[in-house]
Amino acid sequence: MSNSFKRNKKLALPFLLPSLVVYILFFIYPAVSGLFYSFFDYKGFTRDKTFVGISNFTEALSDKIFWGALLVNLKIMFFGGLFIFLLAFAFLIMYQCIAHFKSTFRALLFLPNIISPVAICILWGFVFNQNFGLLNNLLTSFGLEKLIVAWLAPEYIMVSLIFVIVWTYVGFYFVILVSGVSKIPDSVYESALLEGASPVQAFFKITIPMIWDVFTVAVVYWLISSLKMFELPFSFTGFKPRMEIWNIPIYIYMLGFGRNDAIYRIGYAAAIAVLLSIIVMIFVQISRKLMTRESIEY
Amino acid sequence: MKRRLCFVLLTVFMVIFSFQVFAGGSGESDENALEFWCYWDKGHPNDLWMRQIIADFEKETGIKVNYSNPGANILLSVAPAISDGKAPDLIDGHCIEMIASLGNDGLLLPVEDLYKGSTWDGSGVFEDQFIDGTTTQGMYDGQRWFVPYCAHTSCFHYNKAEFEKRGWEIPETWDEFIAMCDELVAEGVAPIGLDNTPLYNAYWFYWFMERICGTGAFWELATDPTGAAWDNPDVLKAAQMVSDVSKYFISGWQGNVWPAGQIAWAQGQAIFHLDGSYIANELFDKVDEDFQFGAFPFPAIEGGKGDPASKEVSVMGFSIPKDAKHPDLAKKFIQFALQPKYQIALMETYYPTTFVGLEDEIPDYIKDVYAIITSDGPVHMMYDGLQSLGEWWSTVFYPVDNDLIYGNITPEEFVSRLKADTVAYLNK
Repeated sequence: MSNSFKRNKKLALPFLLPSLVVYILFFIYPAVSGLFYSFFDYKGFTRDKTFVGISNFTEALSDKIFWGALLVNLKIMFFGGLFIFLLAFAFLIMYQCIAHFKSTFRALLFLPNIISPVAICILWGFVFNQNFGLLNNLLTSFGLEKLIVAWLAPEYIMVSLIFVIVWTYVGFYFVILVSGVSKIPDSVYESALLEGASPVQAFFKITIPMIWDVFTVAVVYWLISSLKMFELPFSFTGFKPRMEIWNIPIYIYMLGFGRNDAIYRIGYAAAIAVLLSIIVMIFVQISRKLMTRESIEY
Repeated sequence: MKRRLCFVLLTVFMVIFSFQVFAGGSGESDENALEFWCYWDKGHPNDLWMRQIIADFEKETGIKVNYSNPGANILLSVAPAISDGKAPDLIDGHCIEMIASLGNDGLLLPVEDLYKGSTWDGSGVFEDQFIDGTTTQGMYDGQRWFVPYCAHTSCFHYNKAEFEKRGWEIPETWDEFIAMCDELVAEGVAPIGLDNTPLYNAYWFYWFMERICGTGAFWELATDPTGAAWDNPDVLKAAQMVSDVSKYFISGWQGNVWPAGQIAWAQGQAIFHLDGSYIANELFDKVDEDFQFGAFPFPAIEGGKGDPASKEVSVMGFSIPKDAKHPDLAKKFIQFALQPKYQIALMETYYPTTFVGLEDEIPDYIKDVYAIITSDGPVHMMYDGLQSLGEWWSTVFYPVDNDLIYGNITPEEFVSRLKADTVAYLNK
């Protein structure tokens, strides 16, 4: 190790300090506190707490609402992820085929990501309203009255929520995939086309294998963000989230703080948050194992 | 050496900068000011009402009030503040939430002395100003911990103009009410409008229990560890009535996300709406000019053991945290805020007063609601007080109640599931 590297390392430390302080204060400390409180019966209003060992964890494992919320998480993760990546790839093909307005195309798809989830929910609340909503009015104007339903009723609300999630996030994952494509040299495509490959073949034989590492990162990121998704499902049905779409983060919030009906079981909520972290880690490990492939150098 | 000095100075600067960024922002605080955290969001009509009181209070007494608006989730801010020994001097909100979260843990200050003292102008006893039953809801361990500034009830709301047009009278019994609903169905008009929210869905079973079994019976269902209370045939009858009444709900109600259902009712798409008395506050700018807010109590049910005159009264108001630095200032402010002129001003925000003696000042839009709140008859709490058992209410009752009202389960299944779930919950 050279002297200049050692000197630069020392000099870098004070510059990193603010970020380190932020990281310790707002991530490490709350995470460790959460783990600590998960072993206590704790309401949060006083410092009084009772050690209960692992009983918060065993309670969670026999809690019907916990398992129901996990199922909601899995539906969002699986179906949302499926449609997000199918559409993101479809848009990627379109993006590669068009010659003009590429940045406009990219910006339009990315747009929902810069809107607040609460605003998105208000917007889609109007679209899905069965009395004056855009969707049912469109169906009426196309003579498809038979398809008119109450889109936010219990039997359809999950479909509606996943639709909104896909609409919101597809642009984000599309942009990630585009960043992977942009690093593939044009010469690779040119030689493939010269050798008679069709655009479809080029997509499956060149694009996908060469962006596989980016795709893997995108999938892992989706797994993490879908499992801890909160704002959008929380805001989807107004001031109090409907129980049909309670996922684990919403359940944690309800247990810890509640809404109109106070529960204040901070310790139990913390235990479920710990379980959620474990679930996230399991899914990330599984996905990394399943998606590991030999990297392609170019 | 120079480089080392540079390194040390830079490190010190970064540490100071970091602490400045994260510890700063609190600004100068006046140690002698009253710290008041308010339930109402900034800009809400009730926030504006509160700001006017504060301005008058500061002007008249010279006491500064540090006023902030944590909003409806005020307890999320209050909890860590109390835990860190930085409790505000005064907070406000729903009595039941305040008592369930802070009162039960002994974190509030009793206000009996305030009640027994005089009014702001010294013309009478402070507690004599209030409607019967409004001050005792915050009672705990034989003392009061809460001072109400408005009173609410849940009841059926309707448009008086619609009743006049039809020549209808207020239904006094459930059979009369159902006869009206049948008449509307025959005309193709939706009788009952509602939003699909567990909180509102729960109104039905609660009110049927209240009228059929009487006050306290619903509470007993939630607190009986043997589950025997669920075997009462009247409980099944109440569940059956929930199942029966759901056929009169506006079509597609399950898809109504608040406030879509109440807006649909206000626009005449349904005739009745079972809701809290704050409805006028929420809908005053969404109704036609000829709309006249009317309300009537949940009708009596033939053969019911509940007192048909029993009225729900729920209150919002002030509490003082036990560790408040200026409890005397807080009491002084409460005494000031609860003057008749401010109660009259409150009613301009469509919220019912908690005072007696203001009958001549009641605006038309809350006259019926005020009449229900002040009517003769025993008082019971909203949902029989079960919101204070937040976990049972939210995680045991709501899911099964929703299934009943959606028609996913029969009344018999409702009773057996809730009996089993309640016993399991209470014995875990």
